[in-house]
Amino acid sequence: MNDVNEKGITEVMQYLPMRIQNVIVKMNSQYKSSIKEIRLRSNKPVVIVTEKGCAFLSVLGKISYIMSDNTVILSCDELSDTVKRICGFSLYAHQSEITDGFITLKGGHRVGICGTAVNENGKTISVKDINCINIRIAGEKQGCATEIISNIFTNGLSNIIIAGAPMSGKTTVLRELVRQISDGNAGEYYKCAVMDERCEIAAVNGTEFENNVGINTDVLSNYPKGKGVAQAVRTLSPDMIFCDETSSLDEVKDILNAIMCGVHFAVTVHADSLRDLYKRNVPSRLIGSGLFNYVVMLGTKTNIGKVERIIKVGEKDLENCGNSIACNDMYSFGKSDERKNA
Amino acid sequence: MSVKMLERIKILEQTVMMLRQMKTQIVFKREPITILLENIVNGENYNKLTYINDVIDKMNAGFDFFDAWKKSINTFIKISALRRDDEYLLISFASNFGQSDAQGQAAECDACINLLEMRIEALKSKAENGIKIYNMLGILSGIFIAIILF
Repeated sequence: MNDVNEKGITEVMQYLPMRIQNVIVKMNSQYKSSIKEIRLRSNKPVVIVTEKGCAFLSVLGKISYIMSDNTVILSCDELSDTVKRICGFSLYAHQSEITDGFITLKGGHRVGICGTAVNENGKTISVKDINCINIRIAGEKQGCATEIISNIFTNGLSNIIIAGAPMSGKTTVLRELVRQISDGNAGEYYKCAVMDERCEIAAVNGTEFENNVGINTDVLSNYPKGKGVAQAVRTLSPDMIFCDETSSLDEVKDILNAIMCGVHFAVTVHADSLRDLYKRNVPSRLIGSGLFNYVVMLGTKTNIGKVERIIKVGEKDLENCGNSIACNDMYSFGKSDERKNA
Repeated sequence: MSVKMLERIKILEQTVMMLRQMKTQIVFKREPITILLENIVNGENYNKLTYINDVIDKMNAGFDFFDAWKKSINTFIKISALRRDDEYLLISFASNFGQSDAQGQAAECDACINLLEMRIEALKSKAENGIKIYNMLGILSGIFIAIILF
């Protein structure tokens, strides 16, 4: 993982101001590989996020958890120059991404954008005065889905939900899961389709994939999830579809419709804990549909990208967590299983 | 003078073609400038636009697009048939490039294309007038020699 992280830093460095590049070059590889995020704010210190928390970049090429005189302060012009570089000096090429608040760099690194929204008829058409960007270093982590494969996919495909807090490695695990299933690690070479709405999973560069998503995988990049899922089901006949960050009820509807067509799904959702799964609309709907078989909870902080728990839907502790909400508008697990069997 | 003018017209015509191609790829594919320039370098119709390679090299070396373009045009002007007013037009095109949405960018391309086409028209009519004058001078010289001989 360290090598992968260092590769990520190298890929991201070309977009940073020369002064910051020079500081990062001075860093030893231990510091470099600990970087998870780089936060750039206009006229503010450069913040580096590591597993241990937020730290500051020092002009000496070190990471300090306390701000000092040596802390690198980013100027307004440097931020503006970085934004231009990230957009490839072509704002129009990232128009829709910018209005959604992010740009994906080569290698699948996601840049979150903060600024002032320009609205027209209630719709954001652009973002001006960008004052902060957050660069998240993406990384492939070979083997992080092996536990999922050996526990869930030994007897064929299943529908699974991968849940975790922000920065828990959901995308990394999903990418590795696609690779392993596509490469035949689940018993046969299943046809996989990836809905890469933010171009983070496969990190498409032209017609090439920068990340390894397996030998039998079709990638639909930049498609809205619903449209991509419908197209994949209609034209690609996938055995399994992989969706990152399912976040709206419309997407849930499209996914459930596709499952009814006989396609299997692996989806990721934001949820800090099992209880959180039920508090949030999207995961509770997915589980409540009775069509998903497993929930995989990921760890955080020092356990980023590691499987914390695998829960079969219908297990008692999962039911207990969802008890109060499940009554409202969804089948209880036992009943939904009965419904499926019937 | 005429050869240089024809060369200048060819460069400007290829620039117009380049801008049309860029506009199409911006509107339909939203390709960033690096890809647009690579497509032009790989195209067969742009042999006169040698400065594009220079722009790509400079951008690869870390220059931003405007600086790379400006420096390359400055150098190209010195070795090509283009003139100072062409330099000003091409540099001003780059100064606004990449800072708006696709529609805005297409409008920028159109504006530059229009100015270049007007310039090409003017140069062509100037070249034609020049040819007419030379023809007339030739005829008059012939008549003059004939009068002297007879």
